[in-house]
Formats: sequence, structure tokens, C-alpha cells
Amino acid sequence: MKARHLQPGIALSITLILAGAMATHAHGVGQDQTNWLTDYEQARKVARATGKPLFIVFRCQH
Amino acid sequence: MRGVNLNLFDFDYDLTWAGFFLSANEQMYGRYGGRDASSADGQMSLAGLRHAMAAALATHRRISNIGPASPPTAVQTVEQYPAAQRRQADACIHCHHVYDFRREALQTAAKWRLDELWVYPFPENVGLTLDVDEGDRVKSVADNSPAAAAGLRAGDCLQAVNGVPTASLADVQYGLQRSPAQGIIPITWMRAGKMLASNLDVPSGWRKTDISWRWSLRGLEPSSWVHGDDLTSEEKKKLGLGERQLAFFQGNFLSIPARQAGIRQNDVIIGLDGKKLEMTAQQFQAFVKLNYKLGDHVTYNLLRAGMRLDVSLTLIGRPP
Repeated sequence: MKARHLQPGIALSITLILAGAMATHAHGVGQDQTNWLTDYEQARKVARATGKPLFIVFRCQH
Repeated sequence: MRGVNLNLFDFDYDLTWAGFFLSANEQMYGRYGGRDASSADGQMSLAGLRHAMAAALATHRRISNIGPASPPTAVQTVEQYPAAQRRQADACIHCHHVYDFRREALQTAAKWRLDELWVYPFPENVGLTLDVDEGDRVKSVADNSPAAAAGLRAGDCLQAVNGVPTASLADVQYGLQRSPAQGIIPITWMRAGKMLASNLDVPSGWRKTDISWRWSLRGLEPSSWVHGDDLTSEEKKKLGLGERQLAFFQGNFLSIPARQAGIRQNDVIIGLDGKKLEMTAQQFQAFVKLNYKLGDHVTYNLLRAGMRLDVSLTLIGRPP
């Protein structure tokens, strides 16, 4: 099943972990330098192309 | 949660934040997140996230050098539940709705049991307290606990719980979530460079925790029909109540059943059926849901203008 564009309402965020870089960064995820995506299939394509793993965050506001 | 594969992104859906590390081929490397009843983020830290990320990267390097992709995970989405199908097409489906819809489906099939509520048990339930900044590091082991009996000690580094590789609290909870209601949970850990293995022998009821914080609990019946804020320590003292005793004001909004029973705004609820309860107002809501059924007749023990008063009420269902 092809995944649809996931609803931004749940603030699903996907980024690609830079191998080795996170160990030296002093700042945390979610700041301006992080390139978050919201389309899961697009993120998978980029991950395949770059060889990087995915970091997927679910945020739900009550 | 529309379109999300719940078989892949299988997590505690009452959380407000949950993270996953995985490959492009959906090989799951690890998880991050988790909370307890005391706060939404007390179990998380940036150092802990980095620790989990480092483990995920190490796994990625190791696995991506090995071979082909793992087979795709069978897809299950929240839209497959009848309750989701009744919602308007553009209506938001929140994370906690997964639990709500799943419960309704099980209730409809007469398969739902109260034990379904004890999801994502804490490592403390088996006697382990983990380091927030290194989610696989044992901070302490409770005396006479399954973890103590298995031989775990403070400083040990967990490797896997019930077959789930562990680098974070979320990983440990995922392993415990998939563990039996009673019986054996395999566990491995490193100590002084050696890999050790044993079993956690868990008794019936080990999964129970304080679930009063769970948003998905709100839809479970019966409702208590009384709601409000806890009294402060000072307010309790003035009324001669113990520090830990249940005591909350009935708030501005009075439910119809409460009003009809004669409960008034600012009544102080201090007990139920004469039981001396030591809990917060939030925990009281969970207590009613866990210990009473629809149609039960209960007696609320109140204080009104300093006078003791008992008011009876029937725990009726919410209107459809």
C-alpha cells in the first residue's frame, strides 16, 4: 500500500540522521538547522538515495 | 494518524511525543520517548536522545553493510477500525484515538478486558530504574524484585528485553509491552565487558501502573460524574484531612447526574462508599473506571461548609 501524505495535524516529522554528526552537535533536534520532512515516502526515497537512516517523530497535541 | 502503519509504528499512543529510528527499508533500529504519571517529559533528555541515536547509527552501519532489505511489514492503519470510518473524512485522528478505536472494536466483539489497559509497563514494574541520560543503563534495582532475582545490578547495561534490543526507555517498554501477563521475560545485559543473560519471572498483575494520566482513559466508562481540582496541602490541613487523602473541589461545571444527585459546586469530595482513598483527583477518575461498572450505585462522601455529607449517585452511561 502506498502511504499517503501523512497529516501535518499530528506533526509527524522526519529527518535523516547525519552519520556521526549528531555526536558532536551541541543543539538538539527541531532547531532551524534540521531539515524536517512530512512526507514519509519522500523521506524513504531520500534515505535510500543517501544511505542514511530515518528519525521519525510523532507529536500529538491533546 | 491517518495513513500510518500501526504495525510498524507500534508505540504507546497516549504519548504526546514518540521517536523512531529506522532504515529506508523499514528495519526498525530503536525508539525514544515515554512518560509516567508525574510528567510528560521527565523521562526524556537530550543526552538520552543522543544515546539512543548513537545506538541507532551503530546498528545502521552494521546492518547496512550486511545484506538486503527485510521483508515489508504488513500494513494496518487506524482507518480500518469502524470508529475511524464513522469520522468525517477530514477529521483529525489523534494518537490516543488508536486506543479508543481498538477498545471499541474489542468491546463490540466482546473481547475487551480490563487487562487491556495495562499497556507499556515501566521497567520499575520489574524492579529496574533506568538512567534518563543512558536509557539502557540500570540506575538501581529494587530489592526482592524480578530484576533482583534475575541477578541485575546497578550499572548493568541492558542489551535486550524479551528479544527487543534496548538503547532507551522506549525500547525497554516495547519489550515489556510484548511480554506475557505472567511468566518469563528473557533479558540480557553487559557487565564489565561480559554478556549475561537471565529471565525475569513476573507474577500476575505485574503490568499494573498508574494510568490516570492516559488520555485514552477518558473514553472508558463509567464516568464518576464529578470533576475538579485537588485541594492544596494547606486547604486539606484546615479541614483536618491527611496530606495524601483524596480531596477535590467539585468544579464549576456540574454534570447532570451530579446535579440531580444533589452535589453542588465547591463540594469537597473526600471518599467513595466510605472508602478512605489516598490519591489525587486524576487518580480517582481512573479508580472509578477500574473498580466500578455502569449502573453501579455509589455514595460520594463530601464536605460542604465544613459538614460531612453523603450523596448517592448511579453511574449511568454517557449519552450517545
